[in-house]
Amino acid sequence: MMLKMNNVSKIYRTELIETHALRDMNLHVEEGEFIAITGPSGSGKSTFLNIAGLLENYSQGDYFLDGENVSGLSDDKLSTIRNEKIGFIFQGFNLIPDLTLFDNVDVPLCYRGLKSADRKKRIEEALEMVGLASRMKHFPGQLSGGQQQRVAIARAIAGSPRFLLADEPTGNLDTLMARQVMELLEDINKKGTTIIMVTHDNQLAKRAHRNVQILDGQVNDIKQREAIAV
Amino acid sequence: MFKYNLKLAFKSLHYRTGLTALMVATIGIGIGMLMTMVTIGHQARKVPLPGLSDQLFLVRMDSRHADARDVTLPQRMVNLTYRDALNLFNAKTVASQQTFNFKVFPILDAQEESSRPIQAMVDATTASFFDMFGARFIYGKAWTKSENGAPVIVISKKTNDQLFGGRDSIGEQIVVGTGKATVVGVLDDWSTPRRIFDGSYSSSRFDDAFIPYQFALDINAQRSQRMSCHPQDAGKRLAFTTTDLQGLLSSECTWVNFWAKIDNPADAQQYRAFAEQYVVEQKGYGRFPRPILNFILNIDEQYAMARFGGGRQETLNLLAYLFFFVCLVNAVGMLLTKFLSTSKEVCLRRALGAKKKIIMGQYLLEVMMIGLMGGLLGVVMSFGGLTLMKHVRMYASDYTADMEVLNLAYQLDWSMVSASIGVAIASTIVVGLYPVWRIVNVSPASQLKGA
Repeated sequence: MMLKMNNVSKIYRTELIETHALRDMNLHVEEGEFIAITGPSGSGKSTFLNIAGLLENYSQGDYFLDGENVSGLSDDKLSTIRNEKIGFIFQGFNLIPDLTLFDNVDVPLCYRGLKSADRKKRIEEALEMVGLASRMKHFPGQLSGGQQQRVAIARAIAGSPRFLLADEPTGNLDTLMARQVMELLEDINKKGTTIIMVTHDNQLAKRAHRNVQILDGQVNDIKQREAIAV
Repeated sequence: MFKYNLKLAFKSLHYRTGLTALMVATIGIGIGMLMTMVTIGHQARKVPLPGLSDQLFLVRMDSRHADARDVTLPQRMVNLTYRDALNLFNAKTVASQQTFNFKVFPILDAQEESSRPIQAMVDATTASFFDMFGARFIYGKAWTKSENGAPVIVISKKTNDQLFGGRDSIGEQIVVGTGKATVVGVLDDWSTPRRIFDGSYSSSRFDDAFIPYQFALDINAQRSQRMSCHPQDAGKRLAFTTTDLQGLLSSECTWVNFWAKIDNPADAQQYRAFAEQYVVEQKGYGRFPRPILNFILNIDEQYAMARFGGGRQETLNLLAYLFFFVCLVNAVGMLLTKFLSTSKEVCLRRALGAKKKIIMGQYLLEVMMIGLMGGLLGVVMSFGGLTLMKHVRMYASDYTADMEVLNLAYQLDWSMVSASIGVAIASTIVVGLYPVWRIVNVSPASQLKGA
């Protein structure tokens, strides 16, 4: 089991109100699965993704990532897990504009403390896979949106993570580019990497192995609920 | 990781260059002003003659009239009368050497076409003076003990340059007031930042020459020394400094600086006992009408009590510290602005696996670099500030001060340069802690959403 969330809740508290972003959320994701997460705005998709990516703490419940219970882990340990096991792909690409493509892909590898030669090999392979090996000295501003997202994918996969979290990876792209990025994600998934993708696009969601809908902070997936109950 | 962080810190300096420059300028100006004032104080307090300052004792005795006001501060006590100076000088004491001096202002004239006579500031003293105060000679040497009344003269390097063009002038004749003296020694530049030996502590100029005290009396060179007289002689001061030498020598006017070189604290105690005994004896002759009060303090002890520059310097110091504080407060604001504007990148780096301590290391390195640059700018500003203050001092002295001597009092030495840089880096780190803490604790999820 790559990801297992049992009764995970997230409550944002202010002096006046409590907002339940996730309510007793249950989600199990097997290794190698390609899951699409859909749901209307404000349903809790982003909160789920932040918690799944260890970017945010949850209020209650249990979360097992690759078999390890992550509750109560130190910030350093969470950083290490993020670095070694999770690849992030964001809607807005989040590339660092004053770094070359090579240096952008290098960022997570540097924090892992890999040797320079190893990093170089991984970066070249990752950029090769997304078809941008010839432009590794270019800066993000010199690329189209689709190309930038491919660089972000290269950055996500360069460290050989166990699973990818993609937050609206095609949200800023036109149809053609979106299709290319989707095909790239499918290729990566075929090689064994688990992918969880948040999307608004039903067409893209249909291409995933499983479609999980989040409504009002809860999973609306009858098939899964039954499976978990059994 | 350090190398990577260093690279990022360098890169970050170029981000919002204007703000970086403003921070460096703010710290540099603050440090510059602070170190200008601190350096002036540092140079003022620098103890001259480090190897001798605990052995050279200035002797002062309360020989004033019975109704004189009480004195508690040693630096307000009067000097010795000529009679007492001579008595102590000739007495057998535990002091390994003794000397005394007083200031005279004769005209010095080398009687050469190439040089003009100068109105000189001359110390009349004994042969032992030079050895006691560690004087160094370029040419010749001090006069001997037997020459304490001989027509000889030791001149400063500057006087030698003025009168003899810097050549070896040993054996040359100089007209000294109404007499004529032979040059026996030319001093090298004096390394002491203040004229400690005449009790003035002046850092404006040094003496132009030194002559034997008896010779100074023989030619009746005009005296210019702080003089304190009993009421019956109060009206004779002008005559005592110009014409009435015998009257001065036999009066109770105090005007002679007296120094004893005492090698250890035990001997110093013994010397103080001797001085008390001397006063008791003199009381038997109807002198020293007041209770016994002798101040016999070495240079270290005198420096510990001195307030160089007085209240004005302290006010300037306080202003400099306050100004530096204001600069640092501004630097906090600017660091905060600069760092928080990079929070999106920090969120990304944290998401990609950067630990808090790594992000902290990166920003602290940047803070240190800003501090270093501020410190270097501060050194340049201090140099400018000291030069300015030196010229203000020169102006305040109506251009009578000696620039070479002022250079000693307003010089930025290596200890101050390293202190400037050290203070700049340390204080920038201290004020940078809050902005660094803020940026390190930005939630990684907070700014990753959206375009």
